[in-house]
Amino acid sequence: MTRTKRLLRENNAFEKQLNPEFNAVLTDMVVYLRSAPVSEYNQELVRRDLGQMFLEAQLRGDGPETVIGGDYRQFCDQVLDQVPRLTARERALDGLSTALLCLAVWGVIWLVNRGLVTWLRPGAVGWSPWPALAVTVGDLLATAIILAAAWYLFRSVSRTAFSDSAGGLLIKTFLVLAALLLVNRVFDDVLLEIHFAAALAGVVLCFLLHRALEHFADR
Amino acid sequence: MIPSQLLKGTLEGCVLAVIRQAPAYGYEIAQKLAAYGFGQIAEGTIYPLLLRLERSGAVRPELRPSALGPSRKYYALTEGGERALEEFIASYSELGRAVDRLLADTKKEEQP
Repeated sequence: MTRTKRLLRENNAFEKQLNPEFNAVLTDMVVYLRSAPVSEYNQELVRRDLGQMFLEAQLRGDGPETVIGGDYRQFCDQVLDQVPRLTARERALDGLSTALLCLAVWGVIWLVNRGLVTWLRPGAVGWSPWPALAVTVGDLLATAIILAAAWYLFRSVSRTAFSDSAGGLLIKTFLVLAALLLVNRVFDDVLLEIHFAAALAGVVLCFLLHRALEHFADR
Repeated sequence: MIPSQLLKGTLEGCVLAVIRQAPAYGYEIAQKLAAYGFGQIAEGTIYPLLLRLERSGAVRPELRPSALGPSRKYYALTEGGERALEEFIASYSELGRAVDRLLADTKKEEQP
């Protein structure tokens, strides 16, 4: 286990001791910190400090506003100013690692979906005789949309952590889902057929590369 | 109550001075400053400052268990911190003397 994952687990366990009021503020702060160009390890170190600060304040009977001083976003910005920033190379590797994980997760969903189509609906759009799986133009477009949307929604959630914008986010999510349905319907031309084992190997490779980058970044 | 703008430039040096007395954690530092007449300073003001001091090597953090609850992060002064504090004391004394001289003259002019 990497030191970041260890600290993450400790922090998750630790936060259970906080009351809902402190927990809500800490969650907003952590969500805000997540999109900052600082390493996940440094984010977790800050999270641990804040959690300790909050728990002690809770035991004293103080509220989050007394501890932070009111403007949570300004506080987070001041904290981020003092945390080492990732270099351009580190940011690129971090982005690649996240993209590989997204691809691995999406790959599993795609494999299950296309596998089921192949097994249960012979002759349907995107069908190929087992063990071949058809890759359509829509699949590639959907992959690109999912990666871009995941990044955009993550940034949106993080940057609006201290404002109540759940409605806007819901609309954006529905728009993404609608776009996915549309590209899968419209762009159903089969681009290529790949063996199930090769597709599975690709998914596993994405995940292993993600883990390798994660370990590399954690040093 | 000291205006926050006036406090801004001196708080870092004052925190170093508090830590030189004995290693302390965020809330404890805020309480000591309040006892010296600085007013209530939120931990949210002290924490980014401590991060900056830690990053510059002026203070060294250490987690110590607390009887009340979670471990506390105590900050101790390093050699670099000692030097930074000496520089602050020298600069602040110079500023204090200059302001005193100016205000003394201002008062004289006000007197009939």
